[in-house]
Amino acid sequence: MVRRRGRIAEVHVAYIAISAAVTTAAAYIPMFPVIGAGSMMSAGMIVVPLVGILLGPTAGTLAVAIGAFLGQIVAPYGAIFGLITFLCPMTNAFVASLLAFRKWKEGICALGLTILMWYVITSIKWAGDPYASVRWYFPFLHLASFASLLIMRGKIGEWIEGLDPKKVPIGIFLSALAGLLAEHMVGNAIYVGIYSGPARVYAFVLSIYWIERLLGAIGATLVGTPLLIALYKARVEIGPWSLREG
Amino acid sequence: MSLVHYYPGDSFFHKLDPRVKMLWLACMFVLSFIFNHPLHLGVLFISVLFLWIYMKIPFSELKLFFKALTIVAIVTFFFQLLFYPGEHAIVSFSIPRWIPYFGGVTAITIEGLVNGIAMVLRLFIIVLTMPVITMSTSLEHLIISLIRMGMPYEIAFAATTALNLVPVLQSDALKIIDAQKARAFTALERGSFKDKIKAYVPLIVPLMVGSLKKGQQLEVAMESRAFGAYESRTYLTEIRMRSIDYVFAAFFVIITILCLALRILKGFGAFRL
Amino acid sequence: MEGLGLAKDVIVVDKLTYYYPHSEEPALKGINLKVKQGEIVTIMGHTGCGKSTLCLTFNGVIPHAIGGDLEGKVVIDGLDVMEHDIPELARRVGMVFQDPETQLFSVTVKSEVAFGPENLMLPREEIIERVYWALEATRLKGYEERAPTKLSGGEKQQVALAAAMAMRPKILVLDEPTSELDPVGTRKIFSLIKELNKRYGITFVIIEHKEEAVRLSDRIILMKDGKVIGEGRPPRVFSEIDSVKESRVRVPQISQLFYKLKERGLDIGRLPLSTEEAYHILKDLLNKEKAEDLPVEASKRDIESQPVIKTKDLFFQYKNGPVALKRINLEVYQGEFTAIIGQNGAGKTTLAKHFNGLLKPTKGDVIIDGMNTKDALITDLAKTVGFVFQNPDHQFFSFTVEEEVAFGPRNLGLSEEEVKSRVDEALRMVGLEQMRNRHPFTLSRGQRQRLAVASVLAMHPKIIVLDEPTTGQDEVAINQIMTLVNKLREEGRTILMITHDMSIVTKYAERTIVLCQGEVLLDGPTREVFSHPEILEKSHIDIPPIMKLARMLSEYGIPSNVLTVEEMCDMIMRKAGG
Repeated sequence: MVRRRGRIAEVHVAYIAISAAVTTAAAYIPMFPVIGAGSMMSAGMIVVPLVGILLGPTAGTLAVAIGAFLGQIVAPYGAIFGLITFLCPMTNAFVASLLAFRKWKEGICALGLTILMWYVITSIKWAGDPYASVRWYFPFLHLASFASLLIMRGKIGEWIEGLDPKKVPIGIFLSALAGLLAEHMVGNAIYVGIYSGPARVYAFVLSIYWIERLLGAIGATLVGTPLLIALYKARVEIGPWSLREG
Repeated sequence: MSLVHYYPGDSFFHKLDPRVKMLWLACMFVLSFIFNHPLHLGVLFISVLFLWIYMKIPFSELKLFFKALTIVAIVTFFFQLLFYPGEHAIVSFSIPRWIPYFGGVTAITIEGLVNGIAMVLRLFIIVLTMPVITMSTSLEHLIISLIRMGMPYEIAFAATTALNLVPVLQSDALKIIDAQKARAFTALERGSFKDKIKAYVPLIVPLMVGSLKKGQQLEVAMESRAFGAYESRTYLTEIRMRSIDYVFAAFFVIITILCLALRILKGFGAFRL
Repeated sequence: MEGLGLAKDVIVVDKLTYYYPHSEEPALKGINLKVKQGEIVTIMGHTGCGKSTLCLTFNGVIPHAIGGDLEGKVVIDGLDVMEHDIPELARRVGMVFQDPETQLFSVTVKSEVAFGPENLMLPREEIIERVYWALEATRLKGYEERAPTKLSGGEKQQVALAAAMAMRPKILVLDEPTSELDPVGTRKIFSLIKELNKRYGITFVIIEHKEEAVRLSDRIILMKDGKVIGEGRPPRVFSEIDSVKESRVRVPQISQLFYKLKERGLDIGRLPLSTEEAYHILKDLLNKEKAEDLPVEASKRDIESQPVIKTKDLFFQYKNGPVALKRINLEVYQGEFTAIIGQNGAGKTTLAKHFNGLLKPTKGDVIIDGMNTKDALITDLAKTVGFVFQNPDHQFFSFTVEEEVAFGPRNLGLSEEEVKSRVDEALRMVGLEQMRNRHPFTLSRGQRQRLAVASVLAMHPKIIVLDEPTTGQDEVAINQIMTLVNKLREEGRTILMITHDMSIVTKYAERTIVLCQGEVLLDGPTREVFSHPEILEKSHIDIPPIMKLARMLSEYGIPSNVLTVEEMCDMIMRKAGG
């Protein structure tokens, strides 16, 4: 995927490195002790989809993968799934970036795949579990997001690229939400599939997860809108409006 | 605060080729899933602890890990204890259905207990094996081994540079907090819930804009020293596999395959009642 | 430098015009320039005049990495930049940039210096040899295993130099290498430049604002708005007052003095640049006589009133860290303009952060306008003390200039009308009303600095603290900021300014506090503080050239504690004008 040496998908390694560093810092090191909301939100939920939206499907996903992986090394006690924990934020950036860069078909497929993965894994691992039926309606927000993507399609990327201050927030919200939900599903798949998480836990989680994810998407939108516009005005060469031509 | 805790040493493990160490990590990961029985997992766990001690990693590090893992461990244990569907009850009781989340639980089962212990052990094993590598291998050696294993140097580069930039970003974050506090920004300490969500904006926006601008400067600095000049580059640090490295690599792989086979054929390491 | 006449041209720029990508205005317009092997050339000009852009064409980063449209020719050591790629050019041209943090990214000094040669695919033995050579040349022997991030600013720039040297370049381009450094670091770098030039014959192209660079150079190039408007040997360039003024460059104090003397009718002909030359010229005009020291002005403060800042045995230690401040006892009165100077790490910013409660004392007390910072709320302190940080970009996040200024007042919970009126007022005071609907990042560096000041002013603070407001800025921007600050002082506010720029201190600050290793070394009227050069030397603080000159002329009727160019001019006119 390296077209010009020193770059990955036209994004210079320097940007990937710094975005990875931001991911590591935001998601793993408590820099911003926002008390109270802290238990529900971490800066990671905001930064990860935005890195995806800014650097694109290849570079952005890579930056988050590196950043999250480093985060596991630096703060290993946060890596609850061990070495593979980084796959979660990586999926987040991946899905968000696909939607932001107008690759909506791939983005929808990715989100759809994670939802499918959920159904398959829970059906296998929860065989015989009395609470297994929760799996059907658990991902209601994910399905809603999936539906919204089918309706909006390429518009999400268009709105982000167009940098209209009224449309950008919607674009960011939808991509970030999709990313956050995809990440959530991957995490669930790991928990149930590899760590044998029982179904009861999910009855518990059902009432909280959607608040958490929505807040994350809102946070990403509130931060992302001024961020993207500032970067455009400051003439930094990233973001779909700059990279998509290349 | 030094990010990557590296404790140079002379121990045998220290001197192993980093690639072999990574192989060990992978094998431990796999083994921790092959086994279900607390006994076998316990042995694995003790072997990891033993390595920590052997490599003379200070106890303060270990304490840090245990402190951070305790909550997750306890929660995991309880979830397994209460919710794991088992048949052999130890204690039977009935939690009325109307109590949220816990309603309907009727027993603590042996399976639940054992699984709980197993999960906790597994958690510890997985989390504790990674630092063993980073604490016994210098960053430069780690990166070289990744590159020798086929990672494109752009990626390895992005990783080391990112690691070096994290403290810079942390200090920037502190400067940003100061600057906003100087404008009476109090949302970090008090404020309504709505305020707290909006609180991220004056913090993360300047941070990310600042970092991407730094990215621009970094790009110019790297290009000015001919980064990306050729398809590959020479490296100052070197690693070489000695025969003993091959021996250990083989050893790890064989043990893992053996255990896997025994598990499938003879149920070695599985917990059955 | 002697012998340069026979040296060949190692940089030839011919009718160079360049447009940045997506830009309609050219950043460089028809530049013609030649640099000989072994020369030290300093490029000076206002912010945005194109100096950095020009230098980036020397190693091909422009146009190969950045893109854009390049017309004309740039030939480096015989190679046309358009026809050779960056790696080839990078073997001939090494670059050092302004910010130590974004040009060093390796784990050890050794690997940092090896980075360039590694990229060039040189054999390992040669890389090792070059690394040791480069470290020795830049006086960094023994630093091999140190982590670059843990070094001082000056040391970091030395490492950057070493890293550039490892490419064995013929030319070294340094883009504002000392802007972020304190006097110690600055001295180190300039002396290294001289040494490297002498020892290895390396050609230097330096972009700088500081006087020391002028003294160091064989030639100065003045740029304005993308064009070269003057060039030649330093004395000649600075004799051409008009082009110097046009280029908005920092004029060395000695030159300023002679401009003013010329204006007042004392024409000496050739204008000197160094204090030694000035001394020789002036002593011939003056009579030998003993001079009375100028009286130190009585402080204008009202002793009856309470100090607006008071620290009692202030002692501060970072958590698990070093002791930063020891036994600081200070009293600052309303309306004073105080400069805080000292080496990097002496504790200036640490001290200043105690004044608005960002830091609380480990021992002792800090009382601001009657409030003890240990108990006061952030909001109350923010209302009283406005803090303008060094890097304005660390705080912007709004869509418009207006919104940005409104942030502070809104945090105070004021009504929307009050907020609006404060925003209008603040923007007017800093001269940014025209820009109110622009996005902060479309403003120039100087304008962003003023925006930072405006967002602080909107809080209506009695006290204003400025942390290095003039670093790396051109003459016009500096004047704008300082005039603004002076106006604020005249309105009765108390000003505290942390700076490394001694000529600003002597021009504007009536009181100076010198910090050294966390303690107050000197505290008093500026004129008095600068009369102790031996004590200041302990902190590696240089007295400004005008003061040096005054001391040299003390046997000729000039008081040794003349502080500013204006005073010196008056003195000379009085004693010699006749």
